[in-house]
Amino acid sequence: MSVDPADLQRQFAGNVGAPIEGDFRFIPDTSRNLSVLYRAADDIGDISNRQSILIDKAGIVRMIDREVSVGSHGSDVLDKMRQMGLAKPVRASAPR
Amino acid sequence: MTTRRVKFRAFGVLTAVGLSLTGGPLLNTISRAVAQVAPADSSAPRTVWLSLGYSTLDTREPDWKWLRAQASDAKLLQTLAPLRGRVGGIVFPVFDDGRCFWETKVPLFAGRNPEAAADEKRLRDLLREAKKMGTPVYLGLDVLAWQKSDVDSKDGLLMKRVDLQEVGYLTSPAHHPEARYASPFHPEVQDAVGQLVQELATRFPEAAGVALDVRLTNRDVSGFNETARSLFVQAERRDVADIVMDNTVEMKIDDTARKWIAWRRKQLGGLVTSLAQQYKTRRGSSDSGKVLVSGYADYYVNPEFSALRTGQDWQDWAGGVSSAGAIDGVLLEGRWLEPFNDNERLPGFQEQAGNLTLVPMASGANLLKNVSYRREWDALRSRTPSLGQVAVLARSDADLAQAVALGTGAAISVTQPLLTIGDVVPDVVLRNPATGKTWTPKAVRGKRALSLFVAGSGKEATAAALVAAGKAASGSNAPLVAVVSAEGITLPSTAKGFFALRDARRDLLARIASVPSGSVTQVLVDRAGFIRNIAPAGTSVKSSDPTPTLAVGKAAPVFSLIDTEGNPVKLAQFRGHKNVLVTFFPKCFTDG
Repeated sequence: MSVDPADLQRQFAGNVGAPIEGDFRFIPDTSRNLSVLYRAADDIGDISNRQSILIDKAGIVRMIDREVSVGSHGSDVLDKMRQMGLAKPVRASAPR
Repeated sequence: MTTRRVKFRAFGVLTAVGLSLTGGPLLNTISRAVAQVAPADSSAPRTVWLSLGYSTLDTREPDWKWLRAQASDAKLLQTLAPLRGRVGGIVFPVFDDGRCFWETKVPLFAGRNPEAAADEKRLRDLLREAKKMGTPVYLGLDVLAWQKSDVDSKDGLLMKRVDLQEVGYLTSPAHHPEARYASPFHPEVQDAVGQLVQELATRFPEAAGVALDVRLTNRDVSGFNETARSLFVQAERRDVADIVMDNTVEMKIDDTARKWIAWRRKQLGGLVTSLAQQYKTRRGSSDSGKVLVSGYADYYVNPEFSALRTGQDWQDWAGGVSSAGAIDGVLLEGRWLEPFNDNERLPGFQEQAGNLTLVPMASGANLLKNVSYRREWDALRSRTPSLGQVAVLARSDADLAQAVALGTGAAISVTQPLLTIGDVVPDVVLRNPATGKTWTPKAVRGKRALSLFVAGSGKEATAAALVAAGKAASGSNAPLVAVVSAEGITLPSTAKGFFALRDARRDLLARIASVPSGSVTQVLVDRAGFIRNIAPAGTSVKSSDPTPTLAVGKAAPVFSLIDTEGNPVKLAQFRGHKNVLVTFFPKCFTDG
């Protein structure tokens, strides 16, 4: 009903071809927990950097992809995800 | 730094997973602690509105089960009885996911609700009872959300009528993700929803009116319906195809983009005005009913939205027509209360704007999921006496209870799970008794780990906590050490390297399993705020920073969080099943 960050994150998922909500989980990260844990931010005041971390089924980090410019990273990742068809990303975004 | 291309083939196909979204997982854990979420409020009572949630956003209740239960035997009204006539209004959703809670004749929607006859009866019963009690009930329409996003089916209403879809810049009409929304710029859509409100006007004269939830279009998501584009080209002699509206890049707001946005806003406002006028005209002049719309407080916060909509979108078109009497009120919703409570970000809020009544709305469900939200809820509660009325978005019995508490000033309790390893340390507000200053775990986020020695009541516990803390306290890169108790400990002069914190409301204490007298529990929190150990502080205490490393080839740091639907997301749950991509999109509809 409401067009709030949560719903818009879902719209965003829709934009990139994420088919079912169960495959995409959006995690609000206002307190920068996930961002700091995965080094996308250094502290609470930071804006998270755009980055992606791929973790395999054994729980091992396989890729850390950081992007200095905000230009094409998003589309690169999205392109990859679209090519794959169905992905299982866990996204963090910080409303503040 | 170059982007490394990921060879996804090496990891096999990431398959779809049907995660079961269990309802209310937080409330059903075996270990529980009852936390008093909000204390009794002496400034009550106040007028409370209820807006019952639309199912399109709640995948746990796809079948209107909870709504039907509320309507049956007017159960909802019984639940709200303690408010005793201080109910400003109830919005009851009757059009959602392209289905109607009555037997509609509108061709696009007729027959889509197999229980339409029974639902209509339930609705009439509710309206009749409400009218007797003098409680206004508004019939809610999620005007354009015609297909839920999790309906991955060619039978979806908008899959059958691809030409009616709102289309995003990045997707084609065949892409169902945008099939959630019908295009408000399409004449057939406008006609169909017009017929809906006219039906409601004729069929349900006991209703106080209608509430229109019209999604304001996002810059890149909506408006690219082919019909809309051709209308725009005709009107403005330029083509929207020239606008770059990729959400993943900075938006270039050139002149064409501005015209596009302005045109869309005008069209949308025109639609809302038209629906309001159709409803009132059809009702008749003796009792034309009222029309409410929903607006979103978040729009004030997000500078990107503001750039698009000047943060006044709903006021532009709703306020503009209110003088004509078309719109009577706005339920100003924000799932995040912070923007609403932060006065700096919401200048000039007033309860009456011309003829418009503005009612701030909080999402009840969120409070139960996130204890750190309480501060904002408390702030809202303390503001509401001056505001006079407030609305609660309710999707559960717990939300209704919260709404009643808001209106009566009663304390409310909610069952919260005990903290375990991998959970985020809650954003509790504690106070240092020595300095009088407040402190929250966020204060050291990213900088220091935390070693909190949580003491149960009694002198023995206090003494033990001081001993343990003394052992743990060490250098500047080690965890910050503090002793936490309900009463607040005065530190002896011999205490070095740690400080005391008072948890008067037991926000943290209530989440730690058995803090009985005489015991001390060490809670070790990493720099990201995740709890890495909770254990009795025995003869040995842990002193090192437990923050996990992040490196390719090493185990990924585990976490346990909650998604936007309130469901738990633990990295461990995917182990052995799925690869996981953790992606950060900082500019995704946010201001940071």
